[in-house]
Amino acid sequence: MGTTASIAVHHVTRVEGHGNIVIDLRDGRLERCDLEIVESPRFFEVLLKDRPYEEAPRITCRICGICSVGHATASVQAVEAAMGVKPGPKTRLLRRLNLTGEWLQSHVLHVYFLVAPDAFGTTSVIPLADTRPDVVTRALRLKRLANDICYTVGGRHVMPISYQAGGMGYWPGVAELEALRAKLAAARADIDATVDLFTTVPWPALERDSECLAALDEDGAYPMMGGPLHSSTGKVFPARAYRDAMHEYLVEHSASKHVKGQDGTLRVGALARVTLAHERLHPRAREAARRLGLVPGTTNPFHYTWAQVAETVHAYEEAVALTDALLADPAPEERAPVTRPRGGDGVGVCEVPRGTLVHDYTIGPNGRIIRANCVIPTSQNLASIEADMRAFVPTIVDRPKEEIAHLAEMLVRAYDPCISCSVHMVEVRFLDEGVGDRGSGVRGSP
Amino acid sequence: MSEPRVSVLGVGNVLAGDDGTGVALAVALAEDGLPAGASVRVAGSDPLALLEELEAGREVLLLDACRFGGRPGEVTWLRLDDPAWPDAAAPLSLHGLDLAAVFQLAKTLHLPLERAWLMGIQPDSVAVGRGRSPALDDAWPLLVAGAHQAVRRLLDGLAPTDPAPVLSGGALALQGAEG
Repeated sequence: MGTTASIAVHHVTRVEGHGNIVIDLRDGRLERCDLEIVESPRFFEVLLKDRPYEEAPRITCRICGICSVGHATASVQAVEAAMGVKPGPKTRLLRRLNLTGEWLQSHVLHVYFLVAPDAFGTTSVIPLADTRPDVVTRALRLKRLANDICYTVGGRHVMPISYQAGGMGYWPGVAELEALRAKLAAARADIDATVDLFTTVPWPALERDSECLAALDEDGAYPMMGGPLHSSTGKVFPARAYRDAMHEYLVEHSASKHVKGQDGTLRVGALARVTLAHERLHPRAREAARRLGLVPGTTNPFHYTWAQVAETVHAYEEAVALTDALLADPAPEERAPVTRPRGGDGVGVCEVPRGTLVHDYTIGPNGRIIRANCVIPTSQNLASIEADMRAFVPTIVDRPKEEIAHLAEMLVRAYDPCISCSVHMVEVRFLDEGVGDRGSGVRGSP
Repeated sequence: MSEPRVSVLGVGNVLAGDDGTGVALAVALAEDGLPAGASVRVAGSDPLALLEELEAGREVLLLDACRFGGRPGEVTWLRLDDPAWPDAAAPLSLHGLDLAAVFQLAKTLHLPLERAWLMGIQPDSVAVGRGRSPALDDAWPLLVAGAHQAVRRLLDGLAPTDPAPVLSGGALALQGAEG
C-alpha cells in the first residue's frame, strides 16, 4: 500500500499574506494539492477610487513592502498613460535605477535568507549564521546597498515618495550619486561571491513545461520598465491588452485570483524573464547563469533561484551603468506636461522581482480615479505552483514524511511568492495513523 | 559624503495607531534635521535594518512603541545586549515582527548589540487606524526632544540618557505587558 498522508503547511505572515499548502495522499495517490490563500482582500483598488491621480503611486506603493518601487512605477506609468504624459529619458533612467535597487533587495533577501538554509541543510538563517557567518553578513551588506539605491532615488528605503506623473519630485545630487557609485564599486566582490555560493547547489528534479510571460522593454533592455507582453507561445500583446495575455479566474480555496495564460498555467518572474530575454542579460549575468548551470528554457521551477542570482548580477551591473549615466549628466529633468487634462484610460506595466505587474486606471475629467485594476505577479504564478506540486509530490511519496513536507515547501519558496517568508511551519498528518482533523498529527519543521 | 556614525531607526506600523510612534519620531527628526554624523531611517516593518546598521559599524538608536507597563507616552531605555532582552522581545514588540529572532541572529553573527539602544514609548491604543492617541500627543514635544538629545549624546560617545540605562541582568520588568 502506498503512502497515505495529509500535509498542511500553515503560515502566518506580517506583511506578505497568509496562505496554506494542503496535500492529501491516499495509498500513494494524490487526492488533493492546493495552495490556499487565506489573506483577506485588501481593497486597494477601491481605495484608489475618487482619489486625485497624483496620489496613486503613493497609495499603491503600500501594497507591498518588498515591491513598493515596482508598484510606484506601474502606478505612475498608468497615470501617465491616462493623462497623456510622456516622461523624459532621464526620468525613465532614474526610475530604472530605483527598480535595480528593489530587484537587488528582493532577490538577495530571498536567495540568502529563505533559500540558502534549504540549500545548505540548515533549518533557518540563524544556524546558517553560526556555520557560515560570512554568508549572512554578505547578505546584510548587499541588502544595505540595495536600500541605499532606493533611498538615493526614491527618498525612502521603501515606499518611494518621489514619483510624480511626468517626472520625479526629487533628483539626487552629484554628491549623493558619487557616494552611491562608491558603494556599488565596493560591492562587486559580494556580487561575485553570491554567484559562487549557489553554483554547487543541487536542486530537486522536476520538469513541467508552462507558458512564460514577461513585459519586454521596447528599447531592447532587459525586461524591467515594461513594454509589450511576450509569451513563450510566441504571441505578443500590447500592454493595454493585458487581459488577453493573463486571464484571471476564481478558485474556491484561494482569496487570491488565479491566472491562466493562452492554454494553461503561467510562469512569471525571474525564470520567465531569463527564458524570454536571456540574450538581454548583461554579459556578466549571462556568464553567471552559465556557471550556475541555468539553461534558458529550463522547465524546472527550482531553477527560479538560479535565475534570481543571475538577475542579481544583472541588476547590480545596471545600477553601476545607470549611476554612471546620471553622473555624466546630473542636471534634473523637467516634468513633462499633461496633454490630456480630461483624463482617460491608462495601463502601466513593469517587471518587479516576482514578475509582471499591471496597474490599469480610468481617470475622470476632474482628475480623479474612477476605476482601478491591479494584477499582481504572485497571483499569476499560483496556478503554476499548484500544477508543479501536483506533478512533484507523486514523485516523492516514498520519502519520509518530513522530507515530503520539506520538499513541498521548497517548491513553493522557489517561486518567491509574497507569502514565501512564512512558509516554514509544516504539519504532517498520516491518514492511516487514524489521526483526526487536519492540524493535529505529526509536526515537522524543516 | 561621510558615512554616519549614529543611525536612528524608526520602527513600527503607521496604520496601527500608536504602533507608528517610532516611525513618526523618525520622520520628525528627519524634518528637524540631525547633526553631522547621524542619519535617520524609517525602517517600518524591516527588522533586518538593525543588523545592517550594526554590521556597518554604527551606533544604533531604535525608536519603537513598547509595552513596558508605563503610562502612555512614558519612555523606557534599553541596551539591546541586555540579558533579559531575548525573552522580552516578543511581548515587548508591537509591530508583529520576530525581533527575538533578529537579536538571536545578531548574537550569532557577533554583531555589537551593546552599541544598539531602544527608546521604547509606551502606547495607548494600537488599534487599526492612523494618528496618535491624545496621551501621546500630549507627550510628543518631550518625545521629540528626548530623541534629539539621545542622538547628540550618542554622537558624543555617551549613553543616550543620563544616568545610562542599567542592564537588568535578566529581570526586565514587564508589568502590564500584553502579547
